[in-house]
Amino acid sequence: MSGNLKLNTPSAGSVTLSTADTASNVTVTIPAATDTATLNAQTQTLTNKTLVASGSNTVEATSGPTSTQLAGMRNKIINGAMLVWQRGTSGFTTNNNYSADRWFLSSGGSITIGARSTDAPTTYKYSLFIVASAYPQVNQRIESANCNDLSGGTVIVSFWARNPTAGTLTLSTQLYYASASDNFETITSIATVSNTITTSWAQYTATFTSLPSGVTNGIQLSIFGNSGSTTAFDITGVQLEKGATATPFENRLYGTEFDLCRRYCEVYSGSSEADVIPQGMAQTDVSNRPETMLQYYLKRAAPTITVASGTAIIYQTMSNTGVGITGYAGALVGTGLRGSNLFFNCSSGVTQATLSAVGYIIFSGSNSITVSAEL
Amino acid sequence: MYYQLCPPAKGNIENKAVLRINDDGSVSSIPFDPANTDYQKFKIDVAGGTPLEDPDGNVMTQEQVDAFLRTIP
Repeated sequence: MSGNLKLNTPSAGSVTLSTADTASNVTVTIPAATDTATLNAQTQTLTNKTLVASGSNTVEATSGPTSTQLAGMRNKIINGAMLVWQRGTSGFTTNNNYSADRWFLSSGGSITIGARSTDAPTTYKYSLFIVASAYPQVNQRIESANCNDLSGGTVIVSFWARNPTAGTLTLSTQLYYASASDNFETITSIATVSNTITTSWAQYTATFTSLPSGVTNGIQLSIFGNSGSTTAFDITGVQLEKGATATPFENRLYGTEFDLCRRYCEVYSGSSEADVIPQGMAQTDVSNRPETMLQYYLKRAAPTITVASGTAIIYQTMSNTGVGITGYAGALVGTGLRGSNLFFNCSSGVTQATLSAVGYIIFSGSNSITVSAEL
Repeated sequence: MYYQLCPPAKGNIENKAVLRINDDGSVSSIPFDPANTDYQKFKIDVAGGTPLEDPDGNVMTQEQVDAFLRTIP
């Protein structure tokens, strides 16, 4: 027998499925894989029951109470809306260097522009703009701790993009997995999905099914312009989530997004003597080699600490005398997940083992100290 | 870009980090943490011939580099 069985109720009425034995489960079966169960626009109530998917089926929600924001932390991409730019907002022209937080740029040639752009689709503030002589590429690596639930499953990548120059551009989305846990020195491609983008902002998706077990080592998402000549694109609103349905972009609070970024990188910067390095205090171990203790947000791994210009730092001694730094000597004693020591070199003015010789360090010109545990 | 071993701090005989002298003049201190991706790359780089200097600025021979790599995690 085929056909429809329709249970109608007057307005504000109810349709009840029940069994005489209230201790037993009641099963409603949708017979064919292509069928769907639809909740209409009115309020629906599921009382004292859990909606369960059997077998390989899934329960997916594609819209929330307002159709704009579903439950949070679906997006495994951090800073997908390009909001956080601790390293600056332009001048990212070196292959494999980070630009917007969590995003590193690469190409098949040279990068001529890598910068933040205010050209963005409605509801977004910024995009990441890249121009390269060939195959411009934006990349983000997802650490293994956030990939354990993806093996064998399906993920969908969604993003907004545009080609700022005339015509269309093939924009390819590629997923890789790391050869060992959080070690991306060798990566293996999973699949590539291509979209054709135009000069107007639009949202695109790429679906990846049957993910290999290697994804538990960590995933690299790469999105690149598939052209061997000079190519550019803007991109924002990048989301990678479980399932085959792209849900609305997950708008997280700026502070939340910033804290997520700080697990991987923090930048201390300054341009005047008013910029004291936070939480710094100092002493010396040998003459003219002052040491500062620097505390930072808990990192994924012991971080690399980069000083952009040692000569733009001054040690302020306890006698209120500024001592210029001649270079960065490194973290000699050790670097931990929450803090490290930084040793600098001075030509004179800091005596050996005089714990009170140095008060704190300050920036004397444009400078930065980057604490990075990026992947 | 090249690498240089840090001098030991007073009272410490072990190296805890290596310096990377970057092309832009900045200096990075890379801890010997296998989970640090710069450290992963350092080991590959110097095994492949990227210069590594001792704390006094002398370029280490490949034999010295290989011997040093066997002492770190």
